[in-house]
Amino acid sequence: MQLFLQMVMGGLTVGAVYALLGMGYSLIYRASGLLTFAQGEYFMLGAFVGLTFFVNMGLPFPLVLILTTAVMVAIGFLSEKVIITPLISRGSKPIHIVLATIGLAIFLQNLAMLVWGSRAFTMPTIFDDMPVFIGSVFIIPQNIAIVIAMLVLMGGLHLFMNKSRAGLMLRAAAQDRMAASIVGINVPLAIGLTWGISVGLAGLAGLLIAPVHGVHAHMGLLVGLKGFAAAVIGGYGSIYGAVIGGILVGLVETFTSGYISSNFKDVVVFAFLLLVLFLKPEGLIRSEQIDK
Amino acid sequence: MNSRLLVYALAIAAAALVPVFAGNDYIILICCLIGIYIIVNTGLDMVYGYSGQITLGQAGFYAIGAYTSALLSINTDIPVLLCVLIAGLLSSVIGMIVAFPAVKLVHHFLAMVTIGFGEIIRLLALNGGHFTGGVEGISNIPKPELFGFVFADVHSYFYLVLVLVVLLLWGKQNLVTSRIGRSFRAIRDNSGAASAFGINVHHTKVAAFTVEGFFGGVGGALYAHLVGFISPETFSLTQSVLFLTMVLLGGAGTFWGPIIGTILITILFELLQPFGQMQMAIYGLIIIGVMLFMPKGIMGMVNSRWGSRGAPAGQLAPSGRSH
Amino acid sequence: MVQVDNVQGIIGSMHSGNILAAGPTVEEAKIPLVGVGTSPTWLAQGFTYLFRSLSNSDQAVGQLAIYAKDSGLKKLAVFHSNDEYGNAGAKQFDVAAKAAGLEVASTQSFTHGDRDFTGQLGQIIATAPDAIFVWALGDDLGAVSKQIRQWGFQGPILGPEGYTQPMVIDFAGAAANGVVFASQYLVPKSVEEGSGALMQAFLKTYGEKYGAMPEADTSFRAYDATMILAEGMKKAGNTDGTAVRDAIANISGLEGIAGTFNFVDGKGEGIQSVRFYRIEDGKYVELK
Repeated sequence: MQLFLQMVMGGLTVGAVYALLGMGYSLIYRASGLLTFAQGEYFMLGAFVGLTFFVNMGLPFPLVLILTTAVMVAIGFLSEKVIITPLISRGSKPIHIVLATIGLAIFLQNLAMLVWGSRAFTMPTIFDDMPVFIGSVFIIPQNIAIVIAMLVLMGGLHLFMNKSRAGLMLRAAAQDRMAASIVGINVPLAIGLTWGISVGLAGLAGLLIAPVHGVHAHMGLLVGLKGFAAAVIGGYGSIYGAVIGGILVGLVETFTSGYISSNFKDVVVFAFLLLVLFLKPEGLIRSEQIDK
Repeated sequence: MNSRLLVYALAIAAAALVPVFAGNDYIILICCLIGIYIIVNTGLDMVYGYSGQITLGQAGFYAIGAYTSALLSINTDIPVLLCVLIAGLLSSVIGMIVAFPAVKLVHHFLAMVTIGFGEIIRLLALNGGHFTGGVEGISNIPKPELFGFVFADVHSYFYLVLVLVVLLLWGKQNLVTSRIGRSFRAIRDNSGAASAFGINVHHTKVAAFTVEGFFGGVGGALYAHLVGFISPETFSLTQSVLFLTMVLLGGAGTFWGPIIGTILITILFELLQPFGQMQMAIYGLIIIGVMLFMPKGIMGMVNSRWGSRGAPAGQLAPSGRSH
Repeated sequence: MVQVDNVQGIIGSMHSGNILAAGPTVEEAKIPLVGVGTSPTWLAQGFTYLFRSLSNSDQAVGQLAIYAKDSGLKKLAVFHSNDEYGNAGAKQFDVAAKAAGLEVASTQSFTHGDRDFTGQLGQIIATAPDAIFVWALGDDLGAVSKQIRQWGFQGPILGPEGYTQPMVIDFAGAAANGVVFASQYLVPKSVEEGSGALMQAFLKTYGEKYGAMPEADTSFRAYDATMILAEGMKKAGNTDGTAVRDAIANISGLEGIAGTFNFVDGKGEGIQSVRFYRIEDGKYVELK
């Protein structure tokens, strides 16, 4: 039982990261019907930007949080404007955009290696990373903080998208560009902002997990793919679906390594993804039913 | 028609002379690799260029071919060239099995399924213990042999690859102009209409993946016997992306496109070698640039400028975002 | 490289897997290679042009098993990376533990670069081991050590030379205390901390050239390897591959950073001794 509960805790922590990336995939999909393969690299970039502010410049953590988010939102906005908009305006097909984002991912990963180097860096912990025991089960405050941060961001995103004027604007632009621009919504700005938010979420995930995982240029690829798996398993396009999918992927991963073998945890995750796609391609949760 | 045959003959003759003028063995080795990549990309183009489906799992077939042929040739007495054929057939069957449920999906979902497939194959190779050699991979893979002649050095291996490239490209051209080839293009251009004309869309898509599997498997097997050593890192998603980039740069759905793209990208990689880390960063930018400025590839541009028969696939592959 | 640049000697690689892959080519081309990877595998293949400029990991593993026995540790668990280096270390430890009469209660592995070990460590802790033997490269060791301590395990961690890399202690902090490892050299933070005159001299030159201290022991390994190759060429009087090979195979009593090299009858192995260290309050303490 102790092992079981401990694995649930571990699964939740990694799951929270996949959920944050998955939310980004879903937002972008709703805004432009596209898939980006650069999410994993934005996650990596967020960790490096945070590291630079926190360690190299010695800024206080709350400021690091704000600055990193701002930088990542700006990068997301720019990526959309510099690469995606020109592609769409040339009438590119989805495969071309998918490949362009793969090109972007390759570029970002190697840029990070050129700028920061190819070794692993250590991010000091902000929360206590030594365990608190409850009975025989221990809880690491830092990991709990990551899960809570993910839930807070999910709630915040929900409020923003559903209750604020800006959110309404983004949703309208995503649903029907033509109609949105007729009623005076700046559609290009809205789409760019949605990319900004998605990239900001990925960057924040990178910053939050940095003290646990360390920071290095290769940290993004697999996490990016699993974040996508999270979004698809939960129901592509749904924010809550991404969260549920993320936690499911996290749990599948931890339980596989605990009860079967760590060697096969990624195989099982991808097999799980294929199974969901084959049997229930709309995902476990229908986006229409949950959060429109 | 005669002028076309002349072009083919000249191309083959030029390729056959490469080892004579190559300065050293390394250049011939690279040329062997180009030949192998052309085989792989020809198969890839059957799925992407001719039948209009996304695939990013080519490295998976490449790995299946390489591991099958390597393991068979080391552990059994089957002649190496037969191992290569068996590897291609096995990879082809696996392509068919995976495609059966997969091709119901389109766009990003199909992209993700093929990526998932490729990753699963790589991870199985990585964690296969003694069977696949784990992260160390397999070494001392024997060279092919025919009637007592061993293709031991890169010179003879180059001619072996060249013969296979010509054979397989000839096979591809026959397939493309056959009824099944026309079905490929029909489902790419308009699957609704194709289905109305009695084409079984699902089976046709599966057939395209089966062909892809065969070409990818043969390519992988030839790679294993050329280099003599394989390990899982060769068969990553990056490799699949590299293959697709070659096809897209050259021009998908054309005869010359995958060939030109393969040659250009391979040479480019060699030229970028001295730049170290910059090599991959520049490669990333090149992908973005190609997508932005020449999404139909070189052959697409040539065809639309000088108007040749056979519409480039670029215009006809699946279009429109999902909403 | 062998074909294009026509080299006359090769230093490296750090990664034993690369050396293993290059072995047949190098052997065929008759070019001596001084490798700096610690896996025993590539010298166990019978290649005659390959040499190693530091002790191989089998020696470190064997010494650690003896250390465990002498310290009264009986039940051990093994946690290793699932790659060439980790697998070889774990396999060798099994052999050494059996010879020393130790019980290996659980063996778990992880993929290089992974950062969540909940499942594997849960299994290990459930067997209540006296000590945990960890075998992986330096960039994984910080996270591994930290998570072992997070599970409440306070016993000794026995580990590889990767613990000399400063980033491990940076990452693990107090969690690294109680780690005992075998290594050829430490990575000092200043010239004065260098062990021995030769290392101090090397560090001084390195500092002047690059304006910083080395981050890993790679530069020591490379220095020793270069020196051995240079000595071989000097003794041979020319750069002919076979002559240099024979000259290196006759080197004995050559002082390097790792210690005294002796290649005579070593089947390519140049050094047999290894040093032991314990991490206490974030500092390395040599065990005699």
